[in-house]
Amino acid sequence: MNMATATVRTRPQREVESHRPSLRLVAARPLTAARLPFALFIGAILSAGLVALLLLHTMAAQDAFRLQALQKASAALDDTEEQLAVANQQQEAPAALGARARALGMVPTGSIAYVDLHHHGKVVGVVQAAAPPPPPPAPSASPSPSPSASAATKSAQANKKAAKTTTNRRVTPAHRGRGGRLTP
Amino acid sequence: MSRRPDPRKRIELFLLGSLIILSLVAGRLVQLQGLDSTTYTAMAEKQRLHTVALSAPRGEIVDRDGNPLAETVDARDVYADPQKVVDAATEAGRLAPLLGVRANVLEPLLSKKTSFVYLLRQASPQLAAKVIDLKLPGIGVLPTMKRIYPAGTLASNVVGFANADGDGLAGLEYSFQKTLSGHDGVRTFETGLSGSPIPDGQDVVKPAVSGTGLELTIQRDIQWKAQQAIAAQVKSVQADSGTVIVMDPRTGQILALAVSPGFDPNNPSASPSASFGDPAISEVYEPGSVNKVITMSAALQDGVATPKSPFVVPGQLRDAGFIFHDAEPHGVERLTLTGILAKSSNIGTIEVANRLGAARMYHYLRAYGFGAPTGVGLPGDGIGLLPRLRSWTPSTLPTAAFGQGVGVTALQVASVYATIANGGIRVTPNLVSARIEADGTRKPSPPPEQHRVIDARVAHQLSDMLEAVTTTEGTAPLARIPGYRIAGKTGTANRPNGHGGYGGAGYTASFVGFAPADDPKLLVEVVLQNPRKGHFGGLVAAPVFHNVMSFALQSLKVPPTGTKPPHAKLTW
Repeated sequence: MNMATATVRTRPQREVESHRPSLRLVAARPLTAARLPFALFIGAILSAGLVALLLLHTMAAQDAFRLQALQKASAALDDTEEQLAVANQQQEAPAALGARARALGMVPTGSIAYVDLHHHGKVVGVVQAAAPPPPPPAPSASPSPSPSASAATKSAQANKKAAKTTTNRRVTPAHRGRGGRLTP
Repeated sequence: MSRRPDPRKRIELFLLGSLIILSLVAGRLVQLQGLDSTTYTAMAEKQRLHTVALSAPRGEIVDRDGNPLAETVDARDVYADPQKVVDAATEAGRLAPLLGVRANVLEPLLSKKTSFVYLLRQASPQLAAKVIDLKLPGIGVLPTMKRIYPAGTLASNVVGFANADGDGLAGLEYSFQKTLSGHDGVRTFETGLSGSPIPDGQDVVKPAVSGTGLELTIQRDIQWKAQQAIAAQVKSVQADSGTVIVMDPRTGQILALAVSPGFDPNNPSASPSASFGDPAISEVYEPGSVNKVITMSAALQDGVATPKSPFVVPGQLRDAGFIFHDAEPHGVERLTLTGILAKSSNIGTIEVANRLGAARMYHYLRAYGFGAPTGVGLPGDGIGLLPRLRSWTPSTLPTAAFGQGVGVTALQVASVYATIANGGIRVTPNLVSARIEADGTRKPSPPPEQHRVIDARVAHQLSDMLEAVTTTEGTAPLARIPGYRIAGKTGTANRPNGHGGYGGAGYTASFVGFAPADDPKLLVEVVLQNPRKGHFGGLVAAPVFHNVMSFALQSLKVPPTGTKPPHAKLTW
């Protein structure tokens, strides 16, 4: 504003000196009409930016909360998985499997035999029926001097005889010939 | 023109006032931001920054097939800040059923004059969640790790155990503590009021370095069978203790190392601390007749006898001022070298040893690994008791010849027979086959040391002689497995009574053998200390050998060789 008045004051002097046709002072075009929308525009941009910033921060904070919640859930699931894996390992431990097998009435084999598939199913080893499981309620009782031990002390002929006379619910004479472990 | 106050002066005054105020503000700013800044930054950070220790998971211990024997799982320590506890009695009452600790034990803890006390260490995360759900003031949980042994007592004598602080206290957990433990890390991050991390805030993680795992040569099925068989036999013959070792003689790998009584690594405090060791490698005993094979191999290698060499064996023998007998009284017998071994004649063995002399005997005892640690890498690897040659008395040679007067560990004896089974080459027994890095990389252990002790020819002759032991004429027909050729030797030694003699301390009964005799894949040794129901190795130890060997042959799918055993000539 100061500058504008200054020019107004000095101009006529120069005009007089140069003898140019005098100039009229024309009222400046009102600027107020153009200023208001501009101010509003800037204000809008600023508030939009502010809102956006706020939203972004809220979202970031929300994500942080969600992340934390999900991490917690993930950790809980990890713990559950670990617990189940350990339970699984405990169940597949040899001691647990052995106890389950005994509970089902299974017994250790008294002899070892293989079927050799490369030589037309030739049976290798001595085939012999397993001794019957100890009478119930043996499964939970202390491991008896294993039945295979006593069976093995007999000679091979005696073993064959024993296999015929041994009454075993699981190994019938018909199965006896192929009763060994099947291994290629 | 009316007189008005000079605006310039007003402005100047205003300016001056502003400057003073602004300089005050600026000064304060300099004070806060410049001079005291570090203090305030530190205070602010202290409010926001949280530091959490990241505990390094301990390395796993797995068997030869990767089944875990020891592993680390997440756990929680439940603690209390007694200063924040409002009502100790009520809180104790509510926690007691959950923690499984009696309320009258918890209450004094909750009213202690301290700000931190553990209530239950290494609880499961599930239990910890229930504790948090109670929302009791002053009660909290901290994340931690727990060492568990999913297979229970399986190989506990080998694996050992670690305490709640992650320190290995027995077995491999102890001897490989540095390898297994790893290094703890730390995470420092900014948190809001709720304790959740501030996004974009400071978050510095120094990651924990996981411990290195161990892969063992143990085969868990065979280990279980060995433990079960020895525990049953210790009970049935009322022995003090028992040991079973299963080895692959070709590689020196130990497939099973079972002792009875053992302990539960998941609850070690329930067992006496004396049971935490591994008697299979540390307990020193007099081996008895199993030692005769060393005398025989020395005689064959040095050429002082052949398997068929004739010996006249009297009923008793006077040597070095002592009178020696055999286990069973007999008249004069005409035995071959094979016969002496098969019938386990002490007198015959002394005759063989006298042909050798003390120096050669000592040489072979050392060559087979007596008087030195086996090198297996477990704590307590015993060296046994082998007197230096210069301190041998005249009676040392005849007694050492049949396994008295020298002390050995079960693993040392197993190694002798593994050497014979392996064609005369001794492979250092080994137990750790590889280290498993945290990223899963498997680093195999360096191959075990090996050296030749006897010629392959001598080893085969010995193997044939040892097969005679399991015939009906030998001392251990109970060790036989139908279809397989078994070589082995019984041992029935007097146990020293600790007063320089042998009376009243019972016997050490043992059997060690390998199969198939003509292509050995497996070696099993059974030792029973002080059995009270029967004491002959062939009667109390051989049946355990039979059981464990049968099972191991099946587990590893070793077929019979289908060859005929040599005809052994025991007499002449």
